[in-house]
Formats: sequence, structure tokens, C-alpha cells
Amino acid sequence: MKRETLFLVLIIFLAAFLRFFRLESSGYLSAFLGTLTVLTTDFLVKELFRKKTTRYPLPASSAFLLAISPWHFHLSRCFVRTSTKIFLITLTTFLLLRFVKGRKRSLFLFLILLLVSSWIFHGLDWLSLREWLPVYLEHFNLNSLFLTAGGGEGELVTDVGLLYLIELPFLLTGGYLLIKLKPRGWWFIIGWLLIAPLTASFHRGAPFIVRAANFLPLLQIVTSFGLVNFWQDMSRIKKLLFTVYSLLFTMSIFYFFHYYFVHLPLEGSGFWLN
Amino acid sequence: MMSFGNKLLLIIIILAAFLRFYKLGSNPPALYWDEVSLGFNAYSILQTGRDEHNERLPYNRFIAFGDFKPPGYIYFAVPSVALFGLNEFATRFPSALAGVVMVVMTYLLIKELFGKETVALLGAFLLSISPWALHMSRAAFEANLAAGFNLLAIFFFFKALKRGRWLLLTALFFALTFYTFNSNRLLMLLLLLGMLVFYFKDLWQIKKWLILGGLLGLVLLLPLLPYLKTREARLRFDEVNIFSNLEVIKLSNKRISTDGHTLVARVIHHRFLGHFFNFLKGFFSFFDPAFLFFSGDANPRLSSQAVGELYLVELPFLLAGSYYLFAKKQKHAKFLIFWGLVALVPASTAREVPHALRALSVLPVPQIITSFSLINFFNSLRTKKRRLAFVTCYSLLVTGYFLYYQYFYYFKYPYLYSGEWQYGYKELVQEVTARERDYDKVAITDYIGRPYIYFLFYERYEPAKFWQTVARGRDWFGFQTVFAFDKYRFGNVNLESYLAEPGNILLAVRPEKEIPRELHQLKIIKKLNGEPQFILVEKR
Repeated sequence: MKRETLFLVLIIFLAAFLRFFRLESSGYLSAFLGTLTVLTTDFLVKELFRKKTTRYPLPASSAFLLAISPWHFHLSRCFVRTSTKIFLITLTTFLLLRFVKGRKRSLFLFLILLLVSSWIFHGLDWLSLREWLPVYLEHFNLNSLFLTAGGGEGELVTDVGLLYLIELPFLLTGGYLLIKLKPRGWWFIIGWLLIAPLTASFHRGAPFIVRAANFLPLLQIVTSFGLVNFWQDMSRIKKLLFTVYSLLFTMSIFYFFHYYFVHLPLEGSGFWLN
Repeated sequence: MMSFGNKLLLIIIILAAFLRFYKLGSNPPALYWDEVSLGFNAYSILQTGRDEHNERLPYNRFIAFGDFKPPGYIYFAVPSVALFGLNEFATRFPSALAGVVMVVMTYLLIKELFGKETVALLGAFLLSISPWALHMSRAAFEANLAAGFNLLAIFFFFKALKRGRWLLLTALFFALTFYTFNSNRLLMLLLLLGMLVFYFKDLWQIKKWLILGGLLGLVLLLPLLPYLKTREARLRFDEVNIFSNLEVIKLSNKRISTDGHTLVARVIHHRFLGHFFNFLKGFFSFFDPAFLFFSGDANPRLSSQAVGELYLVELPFLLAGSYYLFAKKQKHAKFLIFWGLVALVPASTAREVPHALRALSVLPVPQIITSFSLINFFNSLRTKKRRLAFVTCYSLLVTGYFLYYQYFYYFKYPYLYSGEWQYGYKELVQEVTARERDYDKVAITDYIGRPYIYFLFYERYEPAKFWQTVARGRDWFGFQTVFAFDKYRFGNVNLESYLAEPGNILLAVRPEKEIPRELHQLKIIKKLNGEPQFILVEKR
């Protein structure tokens, strides 16, 4: 087996393990689709950047970031409709990129795809432009993404967000480098980033984790683009930094799952229990 | 003969001055208590050389309400009070003037940084109409004066990179920020650190001036240092900062005990981490789109609530500008971004976030980046037609937003939020002063806080007389309450007990009070939205 395939299999196992661990049987479908989404993400990234220009670990690292993502993990366990939606979006986008030619056409089809899927899975709630714009921009709220998981004031103090805080520098680096290096598919990613919150009209009352779910697995892809490009050629200092960073990241991952399974049930009404 | 650029600059300055000084005394519709306190203390210094507490020329802090105000603003208000008399305009004058100076300094700073006239002019213009800058320039906010000093200090720093002696002025202005606003004390240190890191090589070239500047700064700050260690200086800090939040400690202890008090548990649930995350929450809150682009600071005193701190139409260019600064390896990009971020740090340690006032020294960074990016975009348009179309559309958008903001600010804001500015005190003092000769005592409710300072301010009361008759109390936090001076009593006005007292009494009470039949109602003092603020009654 090629090294790449082996990694992918391991990542899928990891994703499945996390999604099914201590899960009641009612959640199996959702968890199954959530696991599959990790696989489709790998395909999607391969298609986005195409092999030649893709540095080897990019698809696998995107898949890995999705597998351990608190956001996708929680969606896969508790929100069957949204996790089905994300699965279908990644799958269709993969097909779209594979078979449709031309930037404008594929972006347009993608927009339709997002709107229709959001409409099917969440229903429609028209907002006027004045109401809609703040809701649109609210999707980019750093606190909701990285610290509070969209929980409002007065809720339980949690320090666990939908994305790992430690991903933030590389999400920014990734976005910066995408625009600067302009790899194949960069325009699609930026388009996705701007289009994803357009569906704000569709699920106003829903929690942030559901509302902003169109960002999955996009943000993981951008982050992994940042990570892969930043660590590609390592000087001695970078190697040291990399070690420290990996260590901190590993700790963040363990902390989240420890928090999720041990502390969260005790701390009661937190947003995550839902 | 003036060059075209200079003419434009002059127009921008006139615009900035007009926007800041027009109706300065009457909108915001009344003086908030901190403004009144600053004004009266300046008056007191002017008249007697002593503050309201009979302290001779305080240089480290003014006791004021027991909140220990930094002295900077008060001393800068002395000349304007001397010139215009003790009134709203004179009290707000230093802040408004700082606002205009900031517009000029923005122009000069951008020229110094990028050397481009167009970017400099546009940046100055954007600051002149910025809701954030405008709102803060139109009230006696110490933070605005400090932001002006901060900008001056940074400007002279960049001048010094070419000619070392300017560093002395950097030291002077940084010291002034230290004397003017609490948040700037931490910010100054952070900025100095940034300057040392980013410009180490350049500073090494002028190390003689660096040492001299450092010494000058130290000498200037020396008088303040002993004060910073005192209990009163710390109390104010503890009151507003997040690190005294007990919830964090409780949660940390709870999680550690759940995990069985192991070493690992004590590390991963350490309260420092909790504090750190709370700090980050505060920091990130400044990037909340509602704060930046839609409604501004949640406190109506600090923002009109109609527009964000920045214009929404600036958003794309702010983002693009931040990108271009790095992508084009623009000189000074790192320091500029650094400044923009660390200016939010002191404010992020406080409980009320995002806070437009405590982070005010971030100005004019957003405007600099936006104008840089706008000019870049304009230059990237190839044909004349496109350029014209862009300029037309964009100016229309900006003008539209700006006019909407100004309309709201002059025609809606005062009516909606006069209560936030403690509207009614001035009217109350005037009513009371006109009638008080006929009464033996005057009792004033303190339900919206600190009435005594308004009586001092609007009666231009002689400080020396005040010291003789004042009766004060103080609480554990050091906050002071004035119960009485002259024939005024302040506090909760209990009408029944005054009924039993002999003599003629004039009473101002809160509007919800039921007025016994034996008392005669004289006048209702209303807020601008028509709701009653005080009721004036008499007992004969």
C-alpha cells in the first residue's frame, strides 16, 4: 500500500472512532456520513489543486484536520441534517470540479448547490438586505469560530471553540498564501469563502455551529494549505518551531476530546450538549 | 502660492474642525459627570492653583470622585477654561482640538511612512469623517487627547529615524499619554517594545539620541512611579480588569477536582489559561462586525449606535490593504499592523469589551490602511473611464453613509440618548439657582449620580467656599460621595422626613416619587425625549 493511502485509511479510522465513540444508535447514520465526509474531503482537495501542483500532504492533512475538527465532530454526532448536507456538498463539489469546466460556471453551480441544499435542509427565512448583511458578516466572528462556539453572553464559560485556536495563525497564513501564490483552484476557495455565508437567510434561528456549517471543510483546507506551505522547507529554527507547534496542537486535540467527554457532561447547560 | 495638495489639506482641516467644533457645547446634549469633573477641576486650578479637594497642583492624579483621574486632560483644559469661561465648549475643547490635530498628524505621518501625497490626503480625509474619531472628539474624553499625543509620539519617532534628535519629542509625547489616559500606559510600553524590535538597526544608528530620549522619558515619568504602586492606583485597575474574575478560578478548581488533582490536570485547567482565553475573547471582540461596521460600541455615550466605528464601505479596502501591505513588502507594514493590534490589548484586559474609548489609540491605523489600499486600487485601474466610475461610485457611497451618520447624530441622537448624558442637571441647576433665595435648605436627589459637581460647575462656585462647607464620605473602593455643601443636601430625598423639618425647603426628586399633598410641585425637568428626569417641589 502506498504511504499516502495508508495515511488516509488511518485518518478515516480515527474519524470513525471519534464519531462513533460512546454514541447512541440513533446517531449512527449521521456519524457514518460524517466519517465519509473525511474521505470526500480528501478527494475534493485532490481535485481542487490537481495532483501536479499539490504538495503531497495537502489532501491528507485537510482530511486529518476535518477528522479531528471539534466542529465537524460535533455535527457528525448530533446534527444529522447538517452533516448529511455537508457530505452531499463535498461530494457534489468534487464531481462539479471534476466534470464542469470554467471558473464562472462551476462557481455559479456551487452557489446554486449551497442555496438549494440549505433550503432543503433548513427551510427559508427571508431577510431584508439591512438585516442580512450583519448576519452575513457575523459568520466571520472570531469569537464564535475560535472561542465561544457561537454561545452567547451569560452562557457557561467555555474555552473550546469550533476551530482550534492554534489553527488561527495558519488559517490566516493559508488565506494570505492562497491569494499570493494563486495555486490552481484558489479562486474556487475564495469564492466558497464568500459564498458560504450567503445562506444566512436560511437558518436564522439555528445555532452558529449549524448556520456556519458551509465553512466545512473549507476552513480546514485553507488551514492545511497554510500549514503545508509554511513548513515545506525547514531551516533549523523552523524545525524546532514545528516540534513545539505539533506538540501544542496535539495537546489541544487531546484537551478538546477530554473536555468533551469528561467535563462537558458535568458542566451542564453548555452549548455543546445541545 | 500654495500647491494643490496643500490647498486640499487646508480644506480637509477646515472640514475636520467644522465637524468637531460645530455645536460642540450642545451635542452631545449634556455633559457627562466625568466631563463636568474635568471641567470644574480645571476651573479650580485656574482660580486657586488647587483642585476640588484643596490639593495643590496635583501632578500624579486628581482625586475627583475617588476614581483618581490622570492629570493630563485637566491641565490642558485650564487654558481653554481661562479663554472661554467654565462651560461645555471650554471643557470639550482640548478633545476636539486633539481631534483636528490628529487629522493633520495623520497626513504628516503617512507622508513620512509612504512618501505619497495622495495617500496622505485621503487618509487625513478619512479620519476627518471617521465616526470613531468624530464621536470621541466631541466630548471631553481623556482617551482622545491621549490618542493625539500617541500619534504625535509615533510621528516623531519616524522623523527621528532620519534625524535622531526628534526622539526627544517622542519621549515627551509618550510621557504625556502616560499622564493622560490609563490604557495608554500599557500601550506606550508595548509600542516602545515594538519600535525596538522592528527598528533595532535604525535605532542603533542614533543610539545617542535613544539614550537621551530614554532618560528624558524616565525623568518625566519619575514623579508618577511611586503613585502607580499605591493602593488607589491598583483599585481602579482591579475594578475593571478581567483577571479578578472569580468565575475563572472557580471553574478551574472544579475541573481540576474532576480530574483528580493530578499535575497534568492542574496544568491544563490552570486559571492562567482561563484568564488568557478571557483576554483573547476580549481581543477578538474588537473584530466583531457589529462593533466595527454596524452599530459601534454598545454604550450610547461612546457611539451614536447608527453606524459602526468604521464605515462598512471601508471593509473591503481595509482587508485588501492589510494584504497588500505584506504582499508588496511595503515599508513599515509590520509596525503599522503591530500598532493596530497592540492598541486593542489594554482594552482587552477590561470587562466591557469591545470598548471604543479604551482602544482609541488604534486611530488612525485603519484609515491609513484603507487609504493606502484605495489609492493602490485606483492606480491599478487602467482606463480613465474606470477610474472615474470608481471614484464616482465610491464617493457617493461614502458621502451617503457620512450624511446619514451626521443626520442621525444631530437630529436623532440627542433626543434618543440625552439620558445617557445625564441631561437635566444643567436645567435643574438653573431652576434651583433662580429660586433658592426664598428657601432655607435645598435637597437634591442623587438618583442619576453625583449632582454636587453639576452645582459647582454651572454656578461657577468658588472652590475656596466649597472646601469650607463640603461634607463627604468615601466607600471601601475609595469612591467619594458629597452629601452636602452650602445649603444643598444631596442623597435620597425622603419627602416625608422633610415634611417634619422646619423652614422653607426646595426639593428636587426623581420622577417616580409620589408627592404628598402638603408639598407644592413647581416644575418638571424633562429629558429631550420628553421623559421626566427631575421634579422640583417646595415645602413652605
